[in-house]
Amino acid sequence: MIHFLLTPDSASALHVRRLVALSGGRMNVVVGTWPELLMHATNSYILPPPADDWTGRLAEAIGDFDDAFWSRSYKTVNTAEREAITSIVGGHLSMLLESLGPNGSMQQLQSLELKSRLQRHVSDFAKLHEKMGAILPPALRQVREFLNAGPERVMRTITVYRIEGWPRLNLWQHALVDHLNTISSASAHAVSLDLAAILESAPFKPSGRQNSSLRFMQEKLFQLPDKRVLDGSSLQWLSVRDCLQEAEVAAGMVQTALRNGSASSSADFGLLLPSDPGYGHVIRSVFDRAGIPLSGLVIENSIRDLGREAVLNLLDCLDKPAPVLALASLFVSPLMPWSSDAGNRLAQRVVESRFDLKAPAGSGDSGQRMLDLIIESVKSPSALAERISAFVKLLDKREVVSMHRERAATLCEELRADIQASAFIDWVALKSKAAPQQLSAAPYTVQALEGVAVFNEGREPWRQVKHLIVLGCFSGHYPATEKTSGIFTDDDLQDLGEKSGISFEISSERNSRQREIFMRQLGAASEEASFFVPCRNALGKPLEPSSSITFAAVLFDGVEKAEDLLLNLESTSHLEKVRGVPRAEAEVAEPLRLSTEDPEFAANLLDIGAGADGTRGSETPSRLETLLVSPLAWMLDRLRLKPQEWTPETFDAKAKGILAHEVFEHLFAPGEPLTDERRIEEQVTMLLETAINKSYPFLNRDEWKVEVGYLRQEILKSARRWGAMLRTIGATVAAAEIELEGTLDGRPINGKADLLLELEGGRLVVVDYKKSSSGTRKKRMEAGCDLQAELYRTMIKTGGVRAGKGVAEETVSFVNRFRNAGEIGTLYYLMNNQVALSNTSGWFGDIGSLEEIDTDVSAKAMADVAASLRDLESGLLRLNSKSDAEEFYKKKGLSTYALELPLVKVFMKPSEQGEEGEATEVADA
Amino acid sequence: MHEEKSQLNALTIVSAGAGTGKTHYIQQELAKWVKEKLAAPDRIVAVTFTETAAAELKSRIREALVRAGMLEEALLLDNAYISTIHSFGLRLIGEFAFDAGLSPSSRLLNDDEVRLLLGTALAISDRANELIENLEHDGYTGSFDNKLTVEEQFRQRVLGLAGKLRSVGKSASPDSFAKYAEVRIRAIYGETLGDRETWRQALYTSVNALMDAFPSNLARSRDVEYGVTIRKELWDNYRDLTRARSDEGEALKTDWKLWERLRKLKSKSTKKNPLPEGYIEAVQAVIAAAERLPANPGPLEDAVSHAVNLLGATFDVLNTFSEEKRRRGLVDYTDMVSEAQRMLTDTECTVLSALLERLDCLVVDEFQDTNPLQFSLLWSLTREKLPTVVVGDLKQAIMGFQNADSRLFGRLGADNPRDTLTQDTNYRSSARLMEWINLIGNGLFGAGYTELAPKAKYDSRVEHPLEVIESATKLSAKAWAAQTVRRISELLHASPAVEVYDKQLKVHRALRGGDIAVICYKNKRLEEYAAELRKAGIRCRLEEDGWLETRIVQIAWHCLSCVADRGDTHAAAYLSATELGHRSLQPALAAAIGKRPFDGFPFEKLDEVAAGNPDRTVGDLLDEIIEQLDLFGEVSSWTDAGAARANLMRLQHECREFMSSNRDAIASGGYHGSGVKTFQAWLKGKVERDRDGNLQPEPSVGDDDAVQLMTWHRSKGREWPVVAVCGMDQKDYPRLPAETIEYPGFEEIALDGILEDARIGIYPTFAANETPRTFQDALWPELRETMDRLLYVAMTRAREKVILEWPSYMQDSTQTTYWSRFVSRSGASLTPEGMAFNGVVYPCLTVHLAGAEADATEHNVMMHPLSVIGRRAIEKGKLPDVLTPESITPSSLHNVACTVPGGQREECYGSELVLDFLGITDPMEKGKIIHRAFEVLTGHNERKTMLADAVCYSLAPEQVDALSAAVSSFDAWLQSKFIPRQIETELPLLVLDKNGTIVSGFADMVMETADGIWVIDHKSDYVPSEALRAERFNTYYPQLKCYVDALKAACPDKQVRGIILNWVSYGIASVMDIV
Ligand code: SF4
Repeated sequence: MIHFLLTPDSASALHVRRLVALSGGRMNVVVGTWPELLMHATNSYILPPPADDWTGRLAEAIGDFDDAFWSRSYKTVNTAEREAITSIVGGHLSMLLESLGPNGSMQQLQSLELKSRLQRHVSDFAKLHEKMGAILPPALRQVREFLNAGPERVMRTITVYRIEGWPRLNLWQHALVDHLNTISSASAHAVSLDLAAILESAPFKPSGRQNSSLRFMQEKLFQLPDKRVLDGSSLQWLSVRDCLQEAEVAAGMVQTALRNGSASSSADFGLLLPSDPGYGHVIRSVFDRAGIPLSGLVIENSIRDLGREAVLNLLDCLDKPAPVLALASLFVSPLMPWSSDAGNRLAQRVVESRFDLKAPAGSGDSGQRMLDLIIESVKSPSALAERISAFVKLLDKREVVSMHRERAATLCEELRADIQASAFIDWVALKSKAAPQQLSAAPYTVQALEGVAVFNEGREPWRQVKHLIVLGCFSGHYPATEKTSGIFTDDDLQDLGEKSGISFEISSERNSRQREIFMRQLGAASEEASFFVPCRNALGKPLEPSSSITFAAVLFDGVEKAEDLLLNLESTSHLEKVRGVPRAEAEVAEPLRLSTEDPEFAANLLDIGAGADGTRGSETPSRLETLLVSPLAWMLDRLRLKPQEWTPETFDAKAKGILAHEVFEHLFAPGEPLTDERRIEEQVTMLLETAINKSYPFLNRDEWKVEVGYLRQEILKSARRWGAMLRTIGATVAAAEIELEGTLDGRPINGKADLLLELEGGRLVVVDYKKSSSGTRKKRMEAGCDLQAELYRTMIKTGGVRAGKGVAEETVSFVNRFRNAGEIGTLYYLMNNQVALSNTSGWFGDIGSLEEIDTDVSAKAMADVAASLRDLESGLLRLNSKSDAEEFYKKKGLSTYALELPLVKVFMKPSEQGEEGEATEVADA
Repeated sequence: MHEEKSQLNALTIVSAGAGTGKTHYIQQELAKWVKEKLAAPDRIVAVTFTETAAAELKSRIREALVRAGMLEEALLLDNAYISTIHSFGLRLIGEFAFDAGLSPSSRLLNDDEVRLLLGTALAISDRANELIENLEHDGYTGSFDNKLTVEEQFRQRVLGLAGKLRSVGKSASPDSFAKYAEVRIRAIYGETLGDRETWRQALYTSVNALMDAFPSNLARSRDVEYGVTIRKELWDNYRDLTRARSDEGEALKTDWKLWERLRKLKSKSTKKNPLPEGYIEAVQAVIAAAERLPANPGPLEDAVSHAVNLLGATFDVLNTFSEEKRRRGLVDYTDMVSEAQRMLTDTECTVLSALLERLDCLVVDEFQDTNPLQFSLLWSLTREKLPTVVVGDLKQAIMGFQNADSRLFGRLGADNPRDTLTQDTNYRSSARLMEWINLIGNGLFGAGYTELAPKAKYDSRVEHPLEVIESATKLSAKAWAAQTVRRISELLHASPAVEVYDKQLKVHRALRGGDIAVICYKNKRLEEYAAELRKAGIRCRLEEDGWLETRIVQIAWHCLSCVADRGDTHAAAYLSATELGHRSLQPALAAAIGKRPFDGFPFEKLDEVAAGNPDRTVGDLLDEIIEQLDLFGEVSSWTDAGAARANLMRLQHECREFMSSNRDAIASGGYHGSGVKTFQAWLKGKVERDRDGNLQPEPSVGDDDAVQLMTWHRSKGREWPVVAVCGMDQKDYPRLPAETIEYPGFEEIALDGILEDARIGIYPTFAANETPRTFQDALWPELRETMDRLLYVAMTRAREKVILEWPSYMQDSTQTTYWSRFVSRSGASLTPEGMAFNGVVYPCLTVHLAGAEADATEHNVMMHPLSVIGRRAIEKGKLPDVLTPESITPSSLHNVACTVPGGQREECYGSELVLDFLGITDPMEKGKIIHRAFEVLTGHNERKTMLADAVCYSLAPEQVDALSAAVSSFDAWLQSKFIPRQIETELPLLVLDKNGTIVSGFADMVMETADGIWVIDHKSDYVPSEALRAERFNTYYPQLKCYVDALKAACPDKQVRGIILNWVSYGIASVMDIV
């Protein structure tokens, strides 16, 4: 025999439990919510296990209709959306069955005279229910079983105590309560009157001091009062910027009250939180920092579904071309059989489009196997099934990830079943099945008698407090409002209710329940209440005040609009009127400055990154170009300090450049004919394809067709013109993509030249292709700031072809001829506008698109580089200044990507033209 | 349909100029109807154009109803359809999804999905693929400034055109659109002469002649030393000529830009730069041939075919796109309206009648901003006689760039003059300022303007309602800003203080920064004003760019990187060099050079964070980082404390947004996974893609002293006591290429069929210098109208004072600026007495600037006052070490430190119970079954047959027997040993302990004997030896003790005799007496 006191929610259950316990210890008394009652009933009965499968039958039946009201939608949408439709329709059917009660039936509704749309909906639901075999949804089925159970199955009786409307029960719940009470009344135990009385006293009632405005509001909110109150000394509405500030000010108020003695314990305070999920976190972190204990706070913490995510990523990787971020994500998954550091390194490689991967050292055989099975493609369903099994077996065995590993394993089992049942691989279906799910860690809870009581919107208050602080009074809260359904409007339900005599719950009833809860929450405060109104959400978007403030405003004399109640804490004039809010000293901030002095080191900075044998790291043209723009960027490069960031596949200028280079490299190679137009056309298409497959396989996907198509056009056009130009100048291709090396002021340099041309008369031209237009390059050359081509020339003069690279002997000797004799010219071919700029003097005849610039195009650049190298040698690192970007670009035609690096950007000196000192303040990021 | 109910007018058109209290009107009107029961609150549709306006309207109406005592009605308002038109559409889609065959759970698709779906759609359109071949030739050049490539530009053009097509519902056939576009282009292009091939031949021949005669490049001439520019020009000429000549003049077939360049070949010889003999004549021949370009039918044909193909491709793409969206249950903003419109106009669909049954009236605010599709949606209700009120102001129609079409509003008024109501009182501006506003209104709109009577409820004490800052010499944007800010600063520091009227407090009080707005045409320009204001020590509010690059966001970002990847030395170096670390580069680099690890603060904290559970979300990681490093505390003393905390909060929120976004949507941008690095990539992409994506959230909302900076567009609907209208030197002209919505024969078509008659006019660019101008001319009238309206909006924002920049140096400029438009339209001029409008002089204070007084702002050191409320006002505290729980359950007490009195003894009551349940490995689960068996069978061996049901497990018969035997022997032992009076199983207990903690739980068994009560607990532990059992007994003791105490409290009149632990697997009981 159990006395069960039924309460609307767990918060009120706690409250009632305390009331009961205070009245003396009890045996046989349980306080709880409806699910707890069901649980006790289940324990007290011996019932056969459930037989039918509501969800399965619903999913089956719903697709069987051709002309039900949902059918058109159902047929249009994909699987995921079908599931959504199923759950919506199923939910409504459950609602109908629930409202009908244990004695009602769908037929009852079908025979009514209704408006046609409603009629159709009702009758479709009835047909659906029939098709499902008229089974009940789990919650109702359970009740039905209790009602039907014979006396031999009852182990223990339960007397249920409840207050009408608190909570509201539907017909099924009523029936069960009546049933339980009928059975228990047969047993000898009487109903306990004092328990009934305790329950009766539980819901909070207005408890503010008589005649206080708090009390007035507790009684009259959402009503039209016949009189109004004058002052608001026990109430205040404070508007602040955002939720964080709400929490901070609230914590400050508690501290102040404790300090000045107006509260004796944190437990005198109550915090009412809106149903917005973020508030819990904010409150916890602020109150913890302030050292104020909380009680009754529950924070749901979602966690990543690592197991399923890994499987989904695997599927994405196997469905070639593999998206790089799917690869990267999988590599860093904690489930991989290698360290997180190793995973990160692998990930970074693929993000940089480098697909030659080696299993991390120390990951052993399983590491290699895992890597292979991620990279290699699968052709057949059976291979895929095998792959998946192998994958699961190789997952990391650590205990911390065991739950995820098991989830992955379970999912893989399901997938295997699907795969084996199908003749081809249905990637879309498999991926949608593998979608990660919402997972939560065990919720964070705190409860302590000493703590500030935390109430939640929509839930009953559970402790009497002196001062209630209501957070998050913005639109949509206090009271929260419910959406209406599209299948049955409130009008529909009312109509249906009137005609059938059954009551269907409509949204206004639910809304009014929400208001009643809010009133009880207010009622729990005995002395004061403060309401916080945030004006912005965390993204900075404006929020409107809660509608309850409009209702509160009519309670006050002399208040015309809701706005007039609000005191904005950021406004100095308003702040004067606020009670209980602590204030900090009015101080002025001192700017924190970062030092932008040129760092000096007691070392030769050129030694950084040098090989172990003491030989210095060799410089390349592109690195020296970086040095020209920013020594710091050069240094970061040497130190390998570059942002380890991921980006999904993008078809950016760099990718285009690489692809175009690659095509040109093979198209204009030694021994290939330059003349044949058709050959060029064919070759470009083919070479581009190869290049794409090698470096940017994602471009094979449909959605990139526009870009690839356009690039092909561009390359084709520039190749034709280039071919024509080569013919005109009578050049022979001596080498393509050839590695050169030499020295610059005694320091080793090396680099790959795009093309070496031999001209009649014993001249050599080093060619550099650029996937850009000629404008800035020309500017750079004319300003003497061009570096690259000159460096290649220097390499040939001071060295030659890099040793041991399998270059043909003739080529080597051809190049070496120029070390001491012969003229070397340099030339840029700018693919975008098909113009060539050469640094030669009178080598070429009149060719429209080839311009010779015969000044020293690199004098300044070479001098600057030399100076920078000397600085570095002496340990001095010169920082950039803010004006550099503009100056380099505008005056020297240099590209300034290097200046975009975060550290380079942060440590720039204020520009010389005397921009404000502010420039380096922290404020001015 | 609605005849019977409406005592309301079927249609009321309210034309409401600036400051005439539109919202007030609507609010009053609606409240009245509700009061008079003409409309139920939940049956009102009221649409506006912004979320804020909708929310405000709703709360105003609520306010009015509450004031009028109609609380029930006010509560019902929550179900009213008061929203933006998009939300209204979305709600209809939601409510009638099934009726329209849509997904009921439609979701807004994101930019990545648009790109993906659009890309796929483009890929399968043949017409699109054809266009791609010729992008450059068709005038796509990419844009260096916007970092826009040619392909992206093409995509955007298709998207833009798609937007236009969808905003007119694309209800007519693709052909009719193509036809219209073609006819229109031809008409504007005008007559052509001859045929393209002839003209090409002619040009080719003349080029050949020239090149034959002068084969070499003059720029390289050894004979003449040309000046630098000339040489460059000759170079370019030579390159063009070569190109024109190559491949037998192939390029001349389509490269109209080349033609245009040939028209401009250098043909003049000077003394210093003489051209060779005969060259000039030959060049002139080329020029003459190229001069045919404007009349050449070639460019026209190309433009027409491009336009037609573009339309065709766009139609293709739209069809594929919308099918795919439907399948995936996705909608975009246009769909929200177009799908709703479709279901209301689809005759097969019963939605219209169902909807009308739910509605009493329709109110549309800012009607001038509706586009044709939106119009059609609303009109489908109005047409069915749903009483409708539309409110708007043609003079404030400035949203054309969003395809808004104010002609519809104009037309509605023209068609229904008797239903039109013109509001002619202004509640905003002071009487004196109103005079000026009426003058400019008359000037800008002539007869179209209705003078407004000033009705503001205060007398302004501001001395000069109008101030003009005039400059006769050219000023840079920065200089203008400096001048205007100087004036603002003077006003703020004037003594005696300038007084303005405070609407909220209803008093006159000293002017504060918050009373002033500075408004400009462009956002960018506002930054100049912000800089100057700051220099002058005046705070300001401006949505600034660069959120992701702000220091605090960068710091948090690099912290995340460090936590995600401890090998990320770059992130570590960043942190070590910036505010959390050394604030200097040297030590960070030195560490990196020496390959020393980065340690100490903040790295040890970050290591702690990194060591936590691997399944934490990025949001939780960031929260932990912020807490561990106390970042909010850290920034609270920075000079930009407010902005920094707001920026950091946004980052926190972006993390949550990332986790809660639809995974498919995110993956379609290539962002796979949900880890930190994917988040970072996603966020970067989002910030870059979205135009406003990198704006910093406003740091404060109630700062009385901050001057508001805003664009003219955004200022619409707002008001301030003092408004500086800035950047009047802004130029404007029709941009090409352009597409516009047009209605051939607008005057004749019925509003009902507005969509069927709408067409898209396409205005291409052309190479020939003069042709684009013809096309621009066709666009000018609309632009001028928009300019007038924008000026009107900007100048009517002030309640008491306008400060107007007056760039009179532009007087002789041929370019159209907002200033020149204002002057020419309104006839305004500055005279010593004031601003004159065709004879009427309005007195104003004029500041004449002489010369470039750029540096006018006094440098008051910028103060950074720190917030006095919030974080800085809380003291750091420590949570108490021990707290008293609210409630406990006894079973949670295992292992709690507690002294066990000892003295328990063991008794064997039966044999061992060895059971294996197939599929159940968890010992807890196993234990549950055994427990349940004891609960069910104790004293009721007859329930044996139902045991399987009771434990929800299909027990084998021998298992049932074994369990029943175990229970029986325990029973028998109890009976014989204790002679119980009563045994209760699963007995609930509820008591308060001495600390006030609630203890609630269930005892497995409580046995009452003659001399007292025994607490019995069944345990299924694996405890094969006595020593183990003794040890385990101690573990369980606190729990059992708790039962004992609870029983003592609950049954004060009874004695608790002892504890029995039943080791079910061994048939052994440990018994402990309590004395
Ligand atoms: S607005 Fe955002 S940050 Fe604030 S509590 Fe809600 S979820 Fe959290």
